[in-house]
Amino acid sequence: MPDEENKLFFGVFTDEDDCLEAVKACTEANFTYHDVLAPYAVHGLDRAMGLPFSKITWVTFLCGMMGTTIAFLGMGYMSHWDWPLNIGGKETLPIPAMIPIMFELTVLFGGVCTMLALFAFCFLFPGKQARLFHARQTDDRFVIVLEMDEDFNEAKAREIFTANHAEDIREVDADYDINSGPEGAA
Amino acid sequence: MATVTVMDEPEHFSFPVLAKLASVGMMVLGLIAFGLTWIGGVELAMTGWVIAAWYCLGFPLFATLFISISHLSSSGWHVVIKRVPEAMTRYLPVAAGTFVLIALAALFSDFYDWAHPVDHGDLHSELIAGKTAWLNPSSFVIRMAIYFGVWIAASWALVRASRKQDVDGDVKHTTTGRRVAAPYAALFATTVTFASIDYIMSVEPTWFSTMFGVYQFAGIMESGFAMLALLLIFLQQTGYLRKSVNENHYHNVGIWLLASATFWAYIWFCQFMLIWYSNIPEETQHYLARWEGPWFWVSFGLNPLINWVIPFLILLPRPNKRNPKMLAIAAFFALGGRFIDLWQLVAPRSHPVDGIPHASAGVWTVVVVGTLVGVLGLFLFVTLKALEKAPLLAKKDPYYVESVHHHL
Repeated sequence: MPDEENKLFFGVFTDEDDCLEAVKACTEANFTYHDVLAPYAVHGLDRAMGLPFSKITWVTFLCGMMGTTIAFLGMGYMSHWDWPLNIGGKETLPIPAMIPIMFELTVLFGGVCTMLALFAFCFLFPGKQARLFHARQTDDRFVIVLEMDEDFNEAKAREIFTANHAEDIREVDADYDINSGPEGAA
Repeated sequence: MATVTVMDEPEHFSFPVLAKLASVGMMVLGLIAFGLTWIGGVELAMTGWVIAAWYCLGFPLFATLFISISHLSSSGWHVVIKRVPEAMTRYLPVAAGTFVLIALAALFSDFYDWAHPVDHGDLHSELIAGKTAWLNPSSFVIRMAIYFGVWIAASWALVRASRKQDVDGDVKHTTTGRRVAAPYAALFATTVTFASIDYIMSVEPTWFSTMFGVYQFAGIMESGFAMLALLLIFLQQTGYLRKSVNENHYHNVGIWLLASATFWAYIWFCQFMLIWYSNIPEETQHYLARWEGPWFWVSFGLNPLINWVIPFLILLPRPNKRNPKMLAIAAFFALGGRFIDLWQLVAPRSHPVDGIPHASAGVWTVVVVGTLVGVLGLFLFVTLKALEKAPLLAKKDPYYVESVHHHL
């Protein structure tokens, strides 16, 4: 498990495939990941890191169902329970006419809640200061950050990073950030 | 880069004897069932035949469209499975044979009310008389020849390009396929719309729905992907494509099945809702006949449940789309649902009683499912026979490597 106290060990890679190979080797060697950072979604990275399948689909499903229910109860309250409305001689609780709106709110709630849940899981909010391990981490560099816990084998990690053409390898404090570090001013 | 994984699996399919016997057995059973339905009269027998012929025609039609949209979208993942839809298109000329009986029914029987209209001096007769410019036996037969001409020509051109590529591996055959696919996509939309109006909607000639073409298209897509999934699983069960087709390809087929089932539900509901909303007698007669009595449970209960709710819930989680067993269960539901959908369209015709439309046939007409078993046997026999004709893997297709390494 990641620990706030541990020092961090990271390698910077210039190529997606090198990074992916290094991640596979690290997973095999049972290193604890602090994070793997890439400027875009790298195909197969989650599986290489050994991450479990995302639970976000449940958020989408349950919030979608909530949207369906709210749409039904809302329309029912407005046109049937609170004040029955006669529209074109149809029933006051017209199921077929409600289905399009129930569908729309399912999609709306499912979509918006998925986005909000992603923000919550990733602890993102407007104005949040990005934590950078490398100045080009959001441009064209890939960074593997490992936790230096009690099982950490530095020689092994260095060997894996070097074998996969790491451009830079560093050992830093737990709260390292280039904005706060010595290079931060640059 | 272009390192193709060496696969030790049979290159050619040989029709297993047991499957051959099973499909012939289905044909024999179907023939007996079809013969027995004649006891119930022309109307019952032809109801079964129209359902069965249109149901099975959907598979090769789906196959031609699947190949076309794959070309048009420059899709690569489908190459390892593309021999299956290609084999399915070989059923088209045989399907033309099954439609000869429908042409004969239009020419010589009263199965279609519009074929030999009798003037009863009422509004019903007047409405039908107004439609004879389109709905008359001779133009019905001519149109049938045009539809099948277009479908067979396009499927022949698409499959030929793929076969030629097997020999020389030239990229130009992919371009040829794409050139055929583009106009065919438009022709497919037109011919399938008019064909669905001719064979299915005209059973109730006084009723019309402007969404009927797309409604049938949705059903064809759903049952087509279900059949594709089942044929792939059958091939793997009998020892073919064991290594080249994996859960990623099933995932794609599963996505398509989920999407087309949902598209069917969307169109099915839209057609009903618009007619329910505007409440015009000419349009509501169709639904009124299915709203009362036991047909309600078929049309508004079983139909959406089996066609959409169950396949949707089965295929929604990602692991289920990648699991051949779950995919097969969903596909069986989709295929059963297609029968229920067509059965509740063709069997209960609306006839006015005291000016109020009612269904003329009871739910006992479900016996026509026997005829479907027979034609389905014919389809499976022709398709699996056609699958023997070419190597199972199109190894010289430019997208072959991409397809082998497909990953979702």
